[in-house]
Amino acid sequence: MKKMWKSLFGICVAVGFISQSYAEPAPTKQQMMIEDCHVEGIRSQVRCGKLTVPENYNKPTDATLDVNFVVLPAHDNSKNNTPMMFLAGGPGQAAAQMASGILRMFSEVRKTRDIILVDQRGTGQSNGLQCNNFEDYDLYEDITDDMSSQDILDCLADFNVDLSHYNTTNAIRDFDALRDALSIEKIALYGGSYGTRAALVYMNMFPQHIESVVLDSVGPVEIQIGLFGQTGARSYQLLLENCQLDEACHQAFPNLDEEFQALIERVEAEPIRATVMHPTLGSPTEFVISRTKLISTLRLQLYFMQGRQFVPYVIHQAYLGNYLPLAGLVAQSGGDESGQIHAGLLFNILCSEDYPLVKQNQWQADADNNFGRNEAQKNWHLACGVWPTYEVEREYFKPVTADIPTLIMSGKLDPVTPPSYGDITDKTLPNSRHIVVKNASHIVVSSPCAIDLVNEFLTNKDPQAIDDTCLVEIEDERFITHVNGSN
Amino acid sequence: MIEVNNLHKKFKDVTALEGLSFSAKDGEITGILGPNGAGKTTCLRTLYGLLKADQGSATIDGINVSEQPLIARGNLGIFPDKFGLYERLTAYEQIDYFASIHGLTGAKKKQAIEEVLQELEMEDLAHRKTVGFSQGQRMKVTLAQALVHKPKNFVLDEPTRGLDVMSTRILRNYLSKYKAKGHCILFSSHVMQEVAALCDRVIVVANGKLAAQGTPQELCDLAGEAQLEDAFVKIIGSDEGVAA
Amino acid sequence: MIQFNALFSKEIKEAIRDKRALMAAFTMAFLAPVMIFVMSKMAIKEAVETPPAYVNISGGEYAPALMKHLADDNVFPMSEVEDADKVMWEKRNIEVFIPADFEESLLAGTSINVVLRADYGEKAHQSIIRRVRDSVYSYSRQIGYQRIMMRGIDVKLLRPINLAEQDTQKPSSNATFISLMLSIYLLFGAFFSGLSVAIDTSAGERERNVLEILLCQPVSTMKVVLAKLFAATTIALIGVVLTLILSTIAVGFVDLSQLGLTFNLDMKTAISLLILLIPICFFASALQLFFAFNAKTFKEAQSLVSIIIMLPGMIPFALSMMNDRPQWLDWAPISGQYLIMEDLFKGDPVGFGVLLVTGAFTVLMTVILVKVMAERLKSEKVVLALS
Repeated sequence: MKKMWKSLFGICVAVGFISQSYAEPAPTKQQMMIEDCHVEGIRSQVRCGKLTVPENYNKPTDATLDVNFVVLPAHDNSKNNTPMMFLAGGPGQAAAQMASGILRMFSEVRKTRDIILVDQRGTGQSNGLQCNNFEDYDLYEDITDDMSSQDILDCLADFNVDLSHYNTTNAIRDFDALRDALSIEKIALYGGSYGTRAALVYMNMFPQHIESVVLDSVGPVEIQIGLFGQTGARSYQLLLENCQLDEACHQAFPNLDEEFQALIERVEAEPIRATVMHPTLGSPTEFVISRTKLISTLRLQLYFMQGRQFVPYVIHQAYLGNYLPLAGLVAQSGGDESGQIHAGLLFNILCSEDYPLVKQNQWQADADNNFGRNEAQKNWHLACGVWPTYEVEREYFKPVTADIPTLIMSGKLDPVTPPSYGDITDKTLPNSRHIVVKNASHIVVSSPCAIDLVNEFLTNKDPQAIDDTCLVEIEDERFITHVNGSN
Repeated sequence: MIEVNNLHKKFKDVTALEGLSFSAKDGEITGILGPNGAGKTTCLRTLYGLLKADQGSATIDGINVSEQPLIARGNLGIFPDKFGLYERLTAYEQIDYFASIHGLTGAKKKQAIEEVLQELEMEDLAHRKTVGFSQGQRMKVTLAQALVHKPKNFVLDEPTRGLDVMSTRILRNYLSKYKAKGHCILFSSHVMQEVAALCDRVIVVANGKLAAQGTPQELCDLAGEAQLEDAFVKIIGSDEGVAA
Repeated sequence: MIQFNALFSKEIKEAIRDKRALMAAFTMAFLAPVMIFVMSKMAIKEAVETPPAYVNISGGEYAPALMKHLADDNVFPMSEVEDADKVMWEKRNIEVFIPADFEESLLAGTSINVVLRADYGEKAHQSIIRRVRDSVYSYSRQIGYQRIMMRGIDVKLLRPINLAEQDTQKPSSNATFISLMLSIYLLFGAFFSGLSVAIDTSAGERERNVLEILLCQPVSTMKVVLAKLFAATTIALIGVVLTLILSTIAVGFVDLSQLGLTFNLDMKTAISLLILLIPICFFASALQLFFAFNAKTFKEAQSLVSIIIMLPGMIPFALSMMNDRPQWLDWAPISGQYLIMEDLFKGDPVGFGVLLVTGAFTVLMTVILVKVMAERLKSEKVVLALS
């Protein structure tokens, strides 16, 4: 089920992740412990630690919680360079769990900088708020359409912490306390997806502790997270256009959108039940495809380039009645635990910080689209209808004007944080630059060109001086047109 | 005073010394004559304490060389057979070096060096590096380093080899001067004229034994020859030598 | 003490005034930084750059996607080579043959035989061959995954085992290859710098007929040997320190950040290195004096000692070849120091005790050598060899 959450919600998601680092900790602060350790997917030793912080910063002597973090130490142990802290997406992704993926993307950065990965409170080993009752869900036979508010309440009942403190501003306080505990005067921030929101709040709260910021796929404070209908449709529209421009794709799928709309009508009438060989077990199994499952599976593919290439073929085959390609995509989405969203934290934050600010007519306008319809918002309504809310410190969610060098990056094809969002944030920041990468989707640093820009920016700290010529060489989007591959 | 008493020395099968005895008195120049291989060098090396006699003893001023070599050597000045110089040092430094080895320090050392330089009339050479010195100049440096600590006994091994006439004369003059001061001078040579002109006593060594000893005149008389050279040939030519 | 001072200062004076020998002695100090600089540059180039490779591809037109994949990995067809490099690449002649039925076979799902032909033995080819091979394999694997997924099969089935490798090496990886190079140069410097002094003061003095008169002086052979040893060691130490300083400076000119590395020698490491290297300098000089004194001629001394100076090159090499090395190598001269230096540069903690034990062992060996030498100089054999 958790994978389902990934596809249903958010800004969260998907592919690569990144991180930041800091300098070697002086374990002087008594509430911090740090040691050499191994983390999943990384062969060499890294540093793992816990920082004890108050659950409620206004009552520092009351309950505490341990914030889990991982430091990927720089190869260069000179400590010359400012460490970079990686702020994960979601909300609800645990940065420390994604260490290996982050390292793969940020290997250049890590050569000279420590990268600090913190499990935001409510994720991973920092009291991860996972909805365990969502897990006994079969990817193929079950559908989420019949999920009820009771499921949400069952999830809530599992938590025995004061959820009102599991918010963005307290998470930032944790991050900054860790920065301080590690004796870093000023830190570099990388935020991806919801991590950009966190970074922006950080910039409002502790501008004096930040050296530079990279915002990748921005969720501006001015825009509420959760309205994914129009942005998803825009991304789908660009996919259609790119398929038309690509000769092979155009030839193979000349009526792609018609086929997709017909498919939607087919599942709207009644969920499709196809008997297929179970993708993992090999035994015959019933593959039930509801509108939700169809849209959420396809929408998830729009987040990353490797996923997008399958979309035309999968739509076309499904239209023809072959649901195996779709089953293959579902199977793939059901793997890898590292980027999973902690649904409890996701709902906890969004239901207080964003959902209440969205007006009814906005939801309606967002649902009026030719791709995801209202699928993305359905679960917000379900969850936020019953989720307890807390008072948000709104003063930290104002447009950010801190004079900190900031590099903003957007993927042109992004289904949740389109380039126009980056423009909004770029407008209020005094020392920023917005770079749009043309053949990229959500989380731009997964492309080698973009990571070079980030590395250069972190070193020079001058967004205007970045040499972005490598962007020109990025090729057009390509698609799979045949079951055995494309030439 | 140098005394050699019944020295025996064998190298594997070769007998180098076979009961050699002699003495060199203070205030005299004693020459050792002998053909090549007679045991002169072995004898002198035993005297320096470099070799150990199989039997017998050598003493310098009554100090047994093999028992207390370092003390014995302190009373000895040596002008070696093949003398080399430290060519990267100046003459002064070299003399200073030997003076220090003999334990001289400070003003005393300085004075000793000045004196020896003066005696040998080599002040103008003192601060030049010895590389490129003429044979005569090298001889002076070697002499100076041997005498800087004013040893009572002075041993020279073939000192005039390779020297020109002028240098040889200079050397002779010095030796005479030292003799006059009461030093004991022992020197080996095979140049008859030199020995005849310089030595008060001559020790003829052959086959590791004392063949004869006495003043040059005595030796001539002993052999019944007018020339020392002829006398020498005659003496070593006889199997058992001639008792003096 | 007066005697020792005189002996020692004379040896030093001579050593320092022998300008040519001194220059030769410090060659290592000047050569090592140059070598380290050049080798680091090369290493960086190899590690950081994936320079374009040009390969004779025939049939590239049949597989445009593969061609693009190769180009992404910086492998290009010969037609794109620049004129300046053309001859070189044509001579290397690494060939890839793509069959005309590539697309047909691809769509049919049958295996496609692509040929990679080159001289695999040529070292310059190996990295290019590897890159071409990796690129083709990754393209092939990518297509394989797509085929499986589009048939509704979980691609994770292709990876039944996920081997999580965990390396227990300390995370602080310094510029290891530079450190190792430097370690060898330092050991080498210890042997090389004192070499000419050691030979000159022993075999050389004998050849110049100054040794005999020295042995006739009222001074113990022990003092003579010690003075010569200290003189040679002093020069060796200067050489080593110079090597260390100049190398550190030279490394500063290498942009190691491209590799994500820095090389800096903190005070603690520098001092540990000195503590480590002082005994080895003594040992090296003692060993050289020992052989030089034993040699019959100056020439023989030179050739004997030049064999000895190969030790610091050979021992680390031999150590690196050894998988299970006996414990005593941790303490033996040269190998002990080398192993400690390895740890030191790797940032592993080096106990004062280990430093002490290894040093003490080396010193002990040196003392034995000195004793033997002093005894030998008293022996008749040496005296007889003088003339």
